[in-house]
Amino acid sequence: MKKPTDQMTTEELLVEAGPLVHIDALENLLNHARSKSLWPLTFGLACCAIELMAAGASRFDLDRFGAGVFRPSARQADVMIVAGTISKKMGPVIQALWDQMPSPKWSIALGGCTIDGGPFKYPNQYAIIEGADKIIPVDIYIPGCPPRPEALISGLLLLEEKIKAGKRFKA
Amino acid sequence: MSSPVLDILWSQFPHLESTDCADTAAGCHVSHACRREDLVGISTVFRESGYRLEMLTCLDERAGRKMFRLVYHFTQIDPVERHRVLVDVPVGEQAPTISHLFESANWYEREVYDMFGVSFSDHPDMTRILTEEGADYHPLLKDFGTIDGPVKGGDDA
Amino acid sequence: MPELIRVGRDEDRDTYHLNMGPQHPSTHGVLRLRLHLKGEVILSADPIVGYSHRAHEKMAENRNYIQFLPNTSRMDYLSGMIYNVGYCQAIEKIIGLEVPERAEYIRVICCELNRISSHLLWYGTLLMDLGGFTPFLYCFEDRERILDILDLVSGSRLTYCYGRFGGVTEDVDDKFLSETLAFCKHLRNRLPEYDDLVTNNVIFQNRCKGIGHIDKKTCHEFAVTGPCQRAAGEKRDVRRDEPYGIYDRFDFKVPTRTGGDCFDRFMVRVEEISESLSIVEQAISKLPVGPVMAPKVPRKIAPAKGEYYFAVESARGHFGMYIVSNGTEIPERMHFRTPSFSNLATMRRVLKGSTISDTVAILGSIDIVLPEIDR
Repeated sequence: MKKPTDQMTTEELLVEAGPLVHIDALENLLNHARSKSLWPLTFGLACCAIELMAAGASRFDLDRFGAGVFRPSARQADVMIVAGTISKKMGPVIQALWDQMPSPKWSIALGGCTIDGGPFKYPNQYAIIEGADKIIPVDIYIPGCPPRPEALISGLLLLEEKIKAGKRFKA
Repeated sequence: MSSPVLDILWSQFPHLESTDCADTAAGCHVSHACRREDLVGISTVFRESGYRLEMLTCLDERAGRKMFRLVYHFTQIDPVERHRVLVDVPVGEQAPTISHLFESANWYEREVYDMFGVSFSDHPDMTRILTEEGADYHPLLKDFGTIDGPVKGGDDA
Repeated sequence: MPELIRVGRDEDRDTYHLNMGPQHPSTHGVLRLRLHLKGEVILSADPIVGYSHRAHEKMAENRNYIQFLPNTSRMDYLSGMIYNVGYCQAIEKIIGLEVPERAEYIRVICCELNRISSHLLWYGTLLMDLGGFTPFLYCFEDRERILDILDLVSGSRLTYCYGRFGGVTEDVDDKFLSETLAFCKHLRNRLPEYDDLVTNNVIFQNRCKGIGHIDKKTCHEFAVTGPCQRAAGEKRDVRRDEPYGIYDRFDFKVPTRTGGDCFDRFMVRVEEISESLSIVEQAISKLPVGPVMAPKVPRKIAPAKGEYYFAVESARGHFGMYIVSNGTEIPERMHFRTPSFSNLATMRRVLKGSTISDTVAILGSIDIVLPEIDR
């Protein structure tokens, strides 16, 4: 934490000052609850979205991990699973959706395209944004083209660990 | 290759250069090279004979022939008969639209405009379709983002 | 947002502009519909595509024919096997490469299984759009079995790269064949169950019958293909009319309906599932022994200079590949005529006059895959 100075704006001061009262036990309890009730945003971009659907359907059943409540509205979701290639046209939309999600929120980059452009990365390519982390903060990266549903589940479990440890990007 | 539509085409458009490709791997029965000014007339004949516009795309041949080449596929579905019509468009000039004859041409022509910058006169909505808003490039032009040779596979990429 | 578009109410005419998508659960990906509404009635609809444009055609010009293979199944990921094998068949036809009999049969089995899995996914998602979650779970359970079977031979669940110029990568084993036969039997028993659950359901019928008419004239003008065209009464199937591979050796019906509404498109696809099952069973019963790869495949694929076109029937319709070769290893140009592109264009006409609630049913029933439209 930086030392608050008179050079900072009110917004910066509010961030740096942190909460007035910080009760660790309660925070931990809240994080524990959050990690077991992730509400992902219903949102697919390309091939990986089909594996995301498969992960939520009969065999893999994300509900077992508390992450099966897919919300179609960004305002009700707290984890964004970016599933598929991010085209330049789609980039600003994803950013807007991310901004619409209330804090605390997390994101998962599902598949090669969201990590670094995947199979669509080549010199002078013009159509895609090479990686979700170019536009939004990403908590968990899941490689694969597309990743199997098991990989997504493993990623979600890792995210739960991360949430329980109280780590997240400041929104 | 004989077909009623060929007789009409040949009688109305003496400048049409047709090649029979029915027995080759070309994938069409007849290939026609037509003048730009004949395109709308030829399309009208195809339309009235019950053909549909199956595909429209463009080739960038500016390097060699200093032209864009539009490729139209007109197809009759029963029995299957596919005609390829090739039209040359000089660089910087417009092609005539056939979107008033074939609804499918509307989006195909927009795609050609988006990818190659070849615009179509009198098209109802000559805007980009696939690239993002405000893009200032036409990606399928040969001199856009040129790469020497094929990209390397695996770890050498 | 890069583009300023008018949303909200027009003061003078009491009409409304609404954006549906690109993030909307019922647009099957990243389609955006710009709707102009009066109350719930759509005055005009404008589909805006391109949110999944990945430059497949530019990539094709930057790599050789073999390097492009993995791209094919990512174009239409729901019928990836059909695209992948179709591309191989196109190149084989161009360079005149003979494919061993056994490989041809394996290709047919895998393509038809892929078609069934695509239709099953469509079945589930359409019903989910209409508000029924249970059929989605049924369909995915059956679909997973197909993915397991295809996983056995190709090693992937979705974006297969199983075809090679001259054959397929791996031979199938007895486990593959017995599981495929068991699956065919299983799905045949399941289909009546699906009918009880969905097709004969009054709510479902009321939501689908008499809306979203795509008639013969519209099909013709927009070059609509696939199940949408067959539902309008045009008996057209590339597998039957321009047989590629060994499709002329199988006995299958091309299901058609006459109305061209959502329910007809639904019924056509349901019937196609059983036809595909029958093709798979026929192919397994005739499967010959032998190699699965042509003995001499040139290491360098450089087709003679010229223009080529090859079409296959994907799960959504006529998929055409227009390939221009300049005689080198790198294609001069590849263009893909994808079925959903033309099918979606009809929405400008079809959605006019229908209501918002019907829009999801109509969009669901034409079965679009956005990356295939945007390429």
